[in-house]
Amino acid sequence: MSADLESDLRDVLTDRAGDVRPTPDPWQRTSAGIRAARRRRAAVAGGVLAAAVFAGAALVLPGDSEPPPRPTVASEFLGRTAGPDMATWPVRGSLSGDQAFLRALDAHVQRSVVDMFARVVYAGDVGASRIVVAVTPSGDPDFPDGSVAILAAPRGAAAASLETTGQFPVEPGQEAVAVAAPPRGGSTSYVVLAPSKRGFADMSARPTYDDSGVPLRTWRPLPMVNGVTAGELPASEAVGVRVRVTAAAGYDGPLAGAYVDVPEGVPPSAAAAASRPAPGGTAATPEQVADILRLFAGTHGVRAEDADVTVQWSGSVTDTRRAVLVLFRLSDGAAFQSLRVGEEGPDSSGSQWDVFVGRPLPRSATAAYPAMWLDPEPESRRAPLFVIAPGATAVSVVDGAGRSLYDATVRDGQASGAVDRPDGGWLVREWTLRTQAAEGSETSWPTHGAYDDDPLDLHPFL
Amino acid sequence: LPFHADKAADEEFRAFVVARWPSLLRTAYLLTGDHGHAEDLVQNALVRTHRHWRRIERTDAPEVFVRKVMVNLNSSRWRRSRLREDLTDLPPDRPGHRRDDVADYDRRDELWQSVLTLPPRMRATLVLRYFEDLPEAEVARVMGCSVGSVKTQTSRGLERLRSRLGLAAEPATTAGTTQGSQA
Repeated sequence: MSADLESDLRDVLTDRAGDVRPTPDPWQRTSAGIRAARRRRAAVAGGVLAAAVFAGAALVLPGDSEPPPRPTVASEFLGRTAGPDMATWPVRGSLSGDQAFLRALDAHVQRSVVDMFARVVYAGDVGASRIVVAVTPSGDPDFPDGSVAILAAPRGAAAASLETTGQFPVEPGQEAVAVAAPPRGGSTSYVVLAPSKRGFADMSARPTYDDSGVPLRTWRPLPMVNGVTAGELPASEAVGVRVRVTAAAGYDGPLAGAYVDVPEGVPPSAAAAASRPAPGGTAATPEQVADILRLFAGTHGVRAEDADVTVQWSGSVTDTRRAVLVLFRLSDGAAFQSLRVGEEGPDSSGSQWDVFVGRPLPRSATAAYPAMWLDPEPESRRAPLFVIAPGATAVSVVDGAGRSLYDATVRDGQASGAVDRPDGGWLVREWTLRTQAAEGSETSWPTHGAYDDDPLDLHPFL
Repeated sequence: LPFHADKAADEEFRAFVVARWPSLLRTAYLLTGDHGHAEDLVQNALVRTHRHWRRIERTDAPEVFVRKVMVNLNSSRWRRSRLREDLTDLPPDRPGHRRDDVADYDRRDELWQSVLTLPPRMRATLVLRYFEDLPEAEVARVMGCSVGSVKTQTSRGLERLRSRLGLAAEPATTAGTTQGSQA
């Protein structure tokens, strides 16, 4: 090695770089990463709304038409065309006048993993947390209407200490945001933003459920000053909250990013559920069941040990995809269902996503309650369709006009195929799933009913 | 595998990935010091690049964008994990090498191990300067900082390496890379 350090450094770096093993198929690896990232973002973004993302149920995919208007207050805010870009909002919040902090924050957001084109629209201390809300512009294929990112840290933290805790898609017509920081000291800090002082908002705490699984809510108004309201909730009550903001276009949905910490480990109910035989051919492990249970408990604000757990089905739905369908029942009789799907890639990489998390079912639901989901590609006229129907021998899907879209024989409780994109996009809320039992009886599982677009009301969507 | 409605953009992105992956992987390896982490880093950077591809490709500098993302992601990963892998094990002597060769190999390895101990952005500055041979202005563009900051990071990085290797400090400035000499 010579005395010239810079020359030696060049040589050493070149030598080491030359030792790098080539990657067998870079494009395969990149495209797998893109798909996994999409699923992860959708699952994280929606929480329980992930069901709608993957089932194409309530959301309008790019290029699709608007969903039919619903006879509810909520529908007044959904389905409208997008209003002015949130990226034009001024910075609001208790730190909006701190220019030094905002400069450091801009640099941090640009450098951080959120998005290089993100723009800060809120910065402030709320309760025990410092919260920053940043929006990304529209045009991203994964977030066609833009996204909202949350950065959080303890109250008073430096800009560089803020961690990205969530990124959520902006829905068509959405012109307000409601976000929450991770729980801190047993409390969850939240921020609701509307475009101007014209906005007003109300909030409902976690719902109760009627016998058919429909959430019941009680509302209270939130004070809005300059289009902003912020506050704290007990962490366990922040999940399941629904916020309605009326503004030019508004928002109606959960506090994005709200969750509660659920202890690690395998609760006895999860271990017991995994030990019982379930249809599908591949037993779920206690750890898998526990993980699904924890996610349900965390997104619904219930204690994991309070849920009775039943694995309804566990097995392969394709050569590379596995699914686990789980039924939860709380002590008051309320029933919920979660579906997790995992995919293994050819290079042993893998990804998993939650098609839905704790959708409420009728209290009468049993382990035979079926599930159906689509994997729609916006560019495609056909979409893979999957049905899990424990105990059924045949299934069919009909649209709102009674036309048959899909018929299949059920094997080992599962059927899969493909369906054409219906007129108007991938809207399945008017579809009906019919299952046939071995003795010939047929059961219809309607996909629409007395619901009001509640974030936790996924009952209509099979 | 249509990701964008614009199939031409998809094809251009795919061609970019296939053509630039090996080069990006080499840089990523020098940033991370680990082959697995390097592949993950390139993959993650390209996934993020894909999201903005139609905007980025118009800039005529998509590779700058990817390298920028790689540097930032690697810094974030380092901050998050604070993991310091054990990088002190020396490889076994190679049979048949003369004593001088072995000594030279050891010194080069020591230099490489020292590079890996540098903070990620300082290491990235040296990799971009001395492996990619990018001008300081281009390094600044990738790093998202000023040219002065690049000079400072370079100077301090070299000083740290000299210190770790037990070399004498550079007595005078060299080609604009030794402004500010505090480690």
